[in-house]
Amino acid sequence: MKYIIALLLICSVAMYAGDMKSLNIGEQVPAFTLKNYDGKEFDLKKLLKENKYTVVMFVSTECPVSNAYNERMAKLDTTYSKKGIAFVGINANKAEDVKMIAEHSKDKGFKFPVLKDEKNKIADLYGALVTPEVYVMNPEGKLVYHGRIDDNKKIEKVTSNDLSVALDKLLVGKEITSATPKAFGCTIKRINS
Amino acid sequence: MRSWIFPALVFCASIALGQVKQTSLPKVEKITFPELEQIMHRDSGKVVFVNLWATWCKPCMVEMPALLRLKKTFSKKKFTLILLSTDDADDLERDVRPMLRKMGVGFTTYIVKDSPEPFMIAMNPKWNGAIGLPMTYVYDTRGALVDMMLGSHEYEDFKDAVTKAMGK
Repeated sequence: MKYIIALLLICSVAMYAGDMKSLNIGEQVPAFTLKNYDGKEFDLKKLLKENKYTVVMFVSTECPVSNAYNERMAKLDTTYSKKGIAFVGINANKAEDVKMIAEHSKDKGFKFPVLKDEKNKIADLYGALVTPEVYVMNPEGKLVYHGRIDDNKKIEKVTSNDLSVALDKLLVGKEITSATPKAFGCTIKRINS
Repeated sequence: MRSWIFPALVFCASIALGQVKQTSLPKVEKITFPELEQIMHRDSGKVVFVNLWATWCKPCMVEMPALLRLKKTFSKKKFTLILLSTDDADDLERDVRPMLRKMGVGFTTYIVKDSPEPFMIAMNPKWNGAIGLPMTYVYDTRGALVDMMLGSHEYEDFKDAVTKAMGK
Protein backbone atom coordinates (compact mmCIF):
# COMPACT_ATOMS: atom_id res chain seq x y z
CA MET A 1 0.00 0.00 0.00
CA LYS A 2 2.82 2.34 1.02
CA TYR A 3 4.54 1.72 -2.31
CA ILE A 4 1.34 2.30 -4.25
CA ILE A 5 0.82 5.66 -2.53
CA ALA A 6 4.45 6.60 -3.15
CA LEU A 7 4.15 5.60 -6.80
CA LEU A 8 0.96 7.58 -7.19
CA LEU A 9 2.65 10.59 -5.63
CA ILE A 10 5.61 10.36 -7.99
CA CYS A 11 3.32 9.89 -10.98
CA SER A 12 1.13 12.83 -10.03
CA VAL A 13 4.18 15.05 -9.64
CA ALA A 14 5.58 13.92 -12.97
CA MET A 15 2.24 14.48 -14.67
CA TYR A 16 1.85 17.88 -13.10
CA ALA A 17 5.27 19.14 -14.12
CA GLY A 18 6.01 17.26 -17.29
CA ASP A 19 2.76 16.31 -18.91
CA MET A 20 0.40 19.17 -18.17
CA LYS A 21 -1.02 20.14 -21.51
CA SER A 22 0.16 23.48 -22.75
CA LEU A 23 -1.64 25.11 -25.66
CA ASN A 24 0.26 25.26 -28.93
CA ILE A 25 0.50 28.28 -31.20
CA GLY A 26 -2.31 28.15 -33.77
CA GLU A 27 -4.49 26.04 -31.50
CA GLN A 28 -8.07 27.06 -30.69
CA VAL A 29 -8.19 28.30 -27.10
CA PRO A 30 -10.92 27.14 -24.73
CA ALA A 31 -13.79 29.58 -24.27
CA PHE A 32 -14.65 30.84 -20.80
CA THR A 33 -16.94 33.15 -18.89
CA LEU A 34 -15.58 34.55 -15.65
CA LYS A 35 -16.49 37.33 -13.28
CA ASN A 36 -14.44 40.46 -12.72
CA TYR A 37 -13.78 41.51 -9.12
CA ASP A 38 -16.69 43.98 -9.41
CA GLY A 39 -19.09 41.18 -10.31
CA LYS A 40 -19.28 41.98 -14.02
CA GLU A 41 -19.18 38.93 -16.25
CA PHE A 42 -16.65 38.62 -19.07
CA ASP A 43 -17.17 36.27 -21.98
CA LEU A 44 -14.04 35.45 -23.96
CA LYS A 45 -16.02 34.84 -27.16
CA LYS A 46 -17.48 38.35 -26.96
CA LEU A 47 -14.06 39.89 -26.27
CA LEU A 48 -12.53 38.09 -29.22
CA LYS A 49 -15.29 39.26 -31.53
CA GLU A 50 -15.05 42.90 -30.41
CA ASN A 51 -11.25 43.27 -30.57
CA LYS A 52 -8.42 42.84 -33.05
CA TYR A 53 -6.56 40.73 -30.49
CA THR A 54 -7.19 39.70 -26.90
CA VAL A 55 -4.41 39.39 -24.33
CA VAL A 56 -5.07 37.13 -21.35
CA MET A 57 -2.56 37.51 -18.52
CA PHE A 58 -2.43 35.12 -15.57
CA VAL A 59 -1.51 37.36 -12.65
CA SER A 60 -1.18 37.35 -8.88
CA THR A 61 -1.58 39.89 -6.10
CA GLU A 62 1.24 38.31 -4.09
CA CYS A 63 3.82 36.92 -6.48
CA PRO A 64 6.86 39.25 -6.53
CA VAL A 65 7.43 38.57 -10.22
CA SER A 66 3.86 39.36 -11.20
CA ASN A 67 3.95 42.45 -8.98
CA ALA A 68 7.17 43.60 -10.63
CA TYR A 69 5.14 43.80 -13.83
CA ASN A 70 2.16 45.79 -12.49
CA GLU A 71 3.22 49.09 -14.02
CA ARG A 72 4.24 47.42 -17.27
CA MET A 73 0.90 45.63 -17.55
CA ALA A 74 -1.02 48.85 -16.88
CA LYS A 75 1.08 50.66 -19.49
CA LEU A 76 0.65 47.92 -22.10
CA ASP A 77 -3.11 48.03 -21.56
CA THR A 78 -3.18 51.83 -21.94
CA THR A 79 -1.04 51.72 -25.09
CA TYR A 80 -2.67 48.83 -26.90
CA SER A 81 -6.31 49.19 -25.87
CA LYS A 82 -6.31 52.34 -28.06
CA LYS A 83 -5.21 50.13 -30.94
CA GLY A 84 -8.01 47.60 -30.58
CA ILE A 85 -6.31 45.08 -28.30
CA ALA A 86 -8.13 44.02 -25.15
CA PHE A 87 -6.24 43.11 -21.97
CA VAL A 88 -7.71 40.77 -19.37
CA GLY A 89 -6.11 39.53 -16.17
CA ILE A 90 -6.96 36.19 -14.61
CA ASN A 91 -6.15 35.32 -11.02
CA ALA A 92 -6.19 31.55 -10.44
CA ASN A 93 -4.29 31.41 -7.14
CA LYS A 94 -6.32 29.56 -4.55
CA ALA A 95 -5.28 31.82 -1.67
CA GLU A 96 -6.14 35.10 -3.42
CA ASP A 97 -9.81 35.99 -3.15
CA VAL A 98 -11.96 38.54 -4.96
CA LYS A 99 -11.49 41.14 -2.20
CA MET A 100 -7.71 40.91 -2.50
CA ILE A 101 -7.92 41.16 -6.27
CA ALA A 102 -10.18 44.22 -6.10
CA GLU A 103 -7.89 46.04 -3.65
CA HIS A 104 -4.79 45.14 -5.61
CA SER A 105 -6.27 46.22 -8.95
CA LYS A 106 -7.45 49.55 -7.57
CA ASP A 107 -4.17 50.15 -5.76
CA LYS A 108 -2.14 49.45 -8.90
CA GLY A 109 -4.44 51.49 -11.13
CA PHE A 110 -5.37 48.61 -13.44
CA LYS A 111 -7.91 49.68 -16.03
CA PHE A 112 -8.25 46.13 -17.31
CA PRO A 113 -10.47 43.57 -15.58
CA VAL A 114 -8.95 40.92 -13.34
CA LEU A 115 -11.17 37.86 -13.36
CA LYS A 116 -11.25 35.31 -10.59
CA ASP A 117 -10.64 31.78 -11.80
CA GLU A 118 -12.19 29.78 -8.97
CA LYS A 119 -10.65 26.32 -8.58
CA ASN A 120 -8.13 27.22 -11.32
CA LYS A 121 -10.34 25.63 -13.97
CA ILE A 122 -9.27 28.04 -16.72
CA ALA A 123 -5.60 27.83 -15.72
CA ASP A 124 -5.92 24.06 -16.09
CA LEU A 125 -7.60 24.36 -19.50
CA TYR A 126 -4.88 26.70 -20.73
CA GLY A 127 -2.04 24.84 -19.02
CA ALA A 128 -1.01 28.10 -17.34
CA LEU A 129 1.64 27.41 -14.72
CA VAL A 130 3.05 30.72 -13.55
CA THR A 131 2.35 34.39 -13.00
CA PRO A 132 2.76 36.41 -15.08
CA GLU A 133 2.00 34.24 -18.10
CA VAL A 134 0.49 35.70 -21.24
CA TYR A 135 -1.73 34.33 -24.01
CA VAL A 136 -2.67 36.35 -27.11
CA MET A 137 -5.59 35.30 -29.28
CA ASN A 138 -6.85 36.47 -32.67
CA PRO A 139 -10.57 37.15 -33.27
CA GLU A 140 -11.08 33.51 -34.29
CA GLY A 141 -9.80 32.41 -30.91
CA LYS A 142 -6.54 30.97 -32.23
CA LEU A 143 -3.48 31.30 -30.03
CA VAL A 144 -0.90 33.57 -31.67
CA TYR A 145 1.48 34.22 -28.74
CA HIS A 146 2.14 32.48 -25.43
CA GLY A 147 4.88 33.34 -23.00
CA ARG A 148 6.44 36.24 -21.20
CA ILE A 149 5.93 40.00 -21.21
CA ASP A 150 9.64 40.71 -21.50
CA ASP A 151 12.95 39.18 -20.48
CA ASN A 152 13.57 40.64 -17.04
CA LYS A 153 11.75 41.14 -13.78
CA LYS A 154 13.81 44.28 -13.26
CA ILE A 155 12.57 46.86 -15.74
CA GLU A 156 15.98 48.56 -16.03
CA LYS A 157 17.48 45.27 -17.26
CA VAL A 158 14.94 44.49 -19.96
CA THR A 159 16.54 43.90 -23.34
CA SER A 160 13.66 42.24 -25.16
CA ASN A 161 10.07 43.53 -25.01
CA ASP A 162 8.66 40.31 -26.38
CA LEU A 163 4.95 40.95 -25.90
CA SER A 164 4.89 44.48 -27.35
CA VAL A 165 7.10 43.39 -30.26
CA ALA A 166 4.63 40.59 -30.96
CA LEU A 167 1.60 42.89 -30.69
CA ASP A 168 3.20 45.47 -33.00
CA LYS A 169 3.85 42.73 -35.57
CA LEU A 170 0.30 41.44 -35.34
CA LEU A 171 -1.15 44.93 -35.73
CA VAL A 172 0.61 45.40 -39.05
CA GLY A 173 -0.49 41.99 -40.24
CA LYS A 174 2.80 40.18 -39.75
CA GLU A 175 3.00 36.68 -38.40
CA ILE A 176 5.04 35.81 -35.34
CA THR A 177 7.46 33.36 -36.83
CA SER A 178 9.97 32.97 -34.01
CA ALA A 179 9.25 30.72 -31.04
CA THR A 180 7.51 32.67 -28.31
CA PRO A 181 9.70 33.01 -25.22
CA LYS A 182 8.68 31.04 -22.16
CA ALA A 183 7.05 32.76 -19.22
CA PHE A 184 8.99 32.76 -15.96
CA GLY A 185 7.50 33.44 -12.56
CA CYS A 186 5.80 32.06 -9.46
CA THR A 187 3.88 28.83 -9.81
CA ILE A 188 0.10 29.21 -9.70
CA LYS A 189 -1.10 27.84 -6.37
CA ARG A 190 -3.79 25.39 -7.40
CA ILE A 191 -6.52 23.78 -5.32
CA ASN A 192 -4.83 20.40 -5.70
CA SER A 193 -1.32 21.64 -4.84
CA MET B 1 49.30 56.10 25.77
CA ARG B 2 46.46 54.07 27.23
CA SER B 3 43.88 56.47 25.80
CA TRP B 4 44.43 55.24 22.23
CA ILE B 5 45.21 51.56 22.88
CA PHE B 6 41.66 50.62 23.85
CA PRO B 7 39.92 52.30 20.85
CA ALA B 8 42.57 50.74 18.59
CA LEU B 9 41.87 47.29 20.01
CA VAL B 10 38.13 47.82 19.59
CA PHE B 11 38.73 48.92 15.99
CA CYS B 12 40.89 45.85 15.20
CA ALA B 13 38.39 43.52 16.85
CA SER B 14 35.50 44.99 14.86
CA ILE B 15 37.42 44.49 11.60
CA ALA B 16 38.25 40.92 12.56
CA LEU B 17 34.63 40.20 13.50
CA GLY B 18 33.46 41.79 10.29
CA GLN B 19 35.73 39.46 8.32
CA VAL B 20 34.48 36.45 10.22
CA LYS B 21 30.92 37.51 9.48
CA GLN B 22 31.78 38.02 5.79
CA THR B 23 33.52 34.67 5.41
CA SER B 24 30.78 32.83 7.26
CA LEU B 25 28.40 33.60 4.44
CA PRO B 26 27.98 30.55 2.16
CA LYS B 27 30.04 30.41 -1.01
CA VAL B 28 28.03 31.06 -4.16
CA GLU B 29 29.49 30.76 -7.65
CA LYS B 30 28.08 32.58 -10.66
CA ILE B 31 27.69 30.06 -13.47
CA THR B 32 26.52 29.64 -17.06
CA PHE B 33 24.69 26.55 -18.29
CA PRO B 34 27.85 24.88 -19.73
CA GLU B 35 29.47 25.36 -16.33
CA LEU B 36 26.49 23.74 -14.64
CA GLU B 37 26.83 20.81 -17.05
CA GLN B 38 30.48 20.44 -16.03
CA ILE B 39 29.51 20.42 -12.36
CA MET B 40 26.88 17.79 -13.07
CA HIS B 41 29.33 15.63 -15.04
CA ARG B 42 31.69 15.79 -12.09
CA ASP B 43 28.99 13.93 -10.21
CA SER B 44 28.25 11.36 -12.90
CA GLY B 45 27.22 8.04 -11.47
CA LYS B 46 25.17 9.82 -8.85
CA VAL B 47 21.56 10.89 -8.66
CA VAL B 48 21.64 14.65 -9.10
CA PHE B 49 19.01 17.10 -7.92
CA VAL B 50 19.22 20.57 -9.44
CA ASN B 51 16.95 22.80 -7.43
CA LEU B 52 16.12 26.19 -8.92
CA TRP B 53 15.09 28.72 -6.33
CA ALA B 54 15.01 32.46 -5.62
CA THR B 55 14.98 34.59 -2.49
CA TRP B 56 11.64 36.14 -3.53
CA CYS B 57 10.02 32.71 -3.91
CA LYS B 58 8.24 31.77 -0.67
CA PRO B 59 7.51 28.14 -1.64
CA CYS B 60 11.24 27.75 -2.39
CA MET B 61 12.03 28.72 1.18
CA VAL B 62 9.35 26.37 2.47
CA GLU B 63 10.86 23.33 0.74
CA MET B 64 14.53 24.14 1.29
CA PRO B 65 14.75 22.52 4.77
CA ALA B 66 13.43 19.30 3.21
CA LEU B 67 16.16 19.43 0.56
CA LEU B 68 18.85 20.04 3.18
CA ARG B 69 17.52 17.12 5.20
CA LEU B 70 17.63 15.01 2.06
CA LYS B 71 21.26 15.94 1.47
CA LYS B 72 22.05 14.85 5.02
CA THR B 73 20.10 11.59 4.71
CA PHE B 74 21.84 10.63 1.48
CA SER B 75 25.27 12.04 2.38
CA LYS B 76 26.88 8.59 2.17
CA LYS B 77 24.92 7.52 -0.88
CA LYS B 78 25.33 8.39 -4.55
CA PHE B 79 23.44 11.64 -4.34
CA THR B 80 24.25 15.29 -5.04
CA LEU B 81 22.16 18.35 -4.37
CA ILE B 82 22.86 21.42 -6.48
CA LEU B 83 21.16 24.61 -5.38
CA LEU B 84 20.93 27.12 -8.22
CA SER B 85 19.60 30.56 -7.41
CA THR B 86 17.72 32.32 -10.20
CA ASP B 87 17.98 35.69 -8.48
CA ASP B 88 19.60 38.52 -10.33
CA ALA B 89 23.36 38.06 -9.92
CA ASP B 90 23.56 41.69 -8.74
CA ASP B 91 21.56 40.68 -5.68
CA LEU B 92 24.02 37.99 -4.64
CA GLU B 93 25.59 39.78 -1.67
CA ARG B 94 22.51 41.67 -0.55
CA ASP B 95 19.92 38.88 -0.76
CA VAL B 96 21.19 35.46 -1.81
CA ARG B 97 24.12 34.76 0.50
CA PRO B 98 22.35 36.10 3.63
CA MET B 99 19.30 33.98 2.79
CA LEU B 100 21.42 30.85 2.34
CA ARG B 101 23.03 31.49 5.70
CA LYS B 102 19.62 31.99 7.27
CA MET B 103 18.50 28.65 5.81
CA GLY B 104 21.61 26.95 7.22
CA VAL B 105 23.27 26.15 3.91
CA GLY B 106 26.93 25.43 4.53
CA PHE B 107 28.07 24.12 1.16
CA THR B 108 28.89 25.78 -2.16
CA THR B 109 25.85 26.75 -4.17
CA TYR B 110 25.36 28.54 -7.49
CA ILE B 111 23.59 31.49 -9.07
CA VAL B 112 22.74 31.98 -12.75
CA LYS B 113 25.20 34.34 -14.36
CA ASP B 114 22.72 35.93 -16.74
CA SER B 115 19.09 34.92 -17.14
CA PRO B 116 17.54 31.69 -15.79
CA GLU B 117 15.77 30.99 -19.07
CA PRO B 118 18.68 29.44 -21.02
CA PHE B 119 19.22 27.03 -18.12
CA MET B 120 15.64 25.92 -18.05
CA ILE B 121 15.38 25.51 -21.80
CA ALA B 122 18.66 23.62 -21.99
CA MET B 123 17.72 21.35 -19.11
CA ASN B 124 14.56 20.21 -20.84
CA PRO B 125 14.27 21.42 -24.46
CA LYS B 126 11.02 19.49 -24.90
CA TRP B 127 9.28 21.43 -22.12
CA ASN B 128 6.56 23.49 -23.74
CA GLY B 129 5.13 25.16 -20.67
CA ALA B 130 6.10 28.12 -18.56
CA ILE B 131 8.94 28.12 -16.09
CA GLY B 132 7.99 28.36 -12.45
CA LEU B 133 9.74 28.16 -9.12
CA PRO B 134 10.65 26.16 -7.23
CA MET B 135 11.68 23.60 -9.81
CA THR B 136 13.76 20.54 -9.09
CA TYR B 137 15.27 18.60 -11.98
CA VAL B 138 16.01 14.99 -11.08
CA TYR B 139 18.77 13.16 -12.98
CA ASP B 140 19.39 9.46 -12.56
CA THR B 141 22.80 7.81 -12.20
CA ARG B 142 23.23 7.79 -16.00
CA GLY B 143 22.62 11.54 -16.13
CA ALA B 144 19.18 11.26 -17.73
CA LEU B 145 16.47 13.69 -16.67
CA VAL B 146 13.82 11.52 -15.01
CA ASP B 147 11.60 13.99 -13.19
CA MET B 148 10.72 17.67 -12.95
CA MET B 149 9.27 18.60 -9.60
CA LEU B 150 7.46 21.89 -9.98
CA GLY B 151 6.21 23.73 -6.91
CA SER B 152 6.99 23.17 -3.25
CA HIS B 153 7.47 19.56 -2.17
CA GLU B 154 7.75 17.65 1.08
CA TYR B 155 10.73 15.63 2.27
CA GLU B 156 8.98 12.33 1.51
CA ASP B 157 8.34 13.41 -2.11
CA PHE B 158 12.04 14.17 -2.57
CA LYS B 159 13.11 10.98 -0.82
CA ASP B 160 10.85 8.92 -3.07
CA ALA B 161 12.23 10.69 -6.14
CA VAL B 162 15.83 9.93 -5.10
CA THR B 163 15.02 6.29 -4.37
CA LYS B 164 13.26 5.92 -7.70
CA ALA B 165 16.12 7.60 -9.59
CA MET B 166 18.60 5.28 -7.87
CA GLY B 167 16.62 2.43 -9.38
CA LYS B 168 15.57 0.93 -6.07
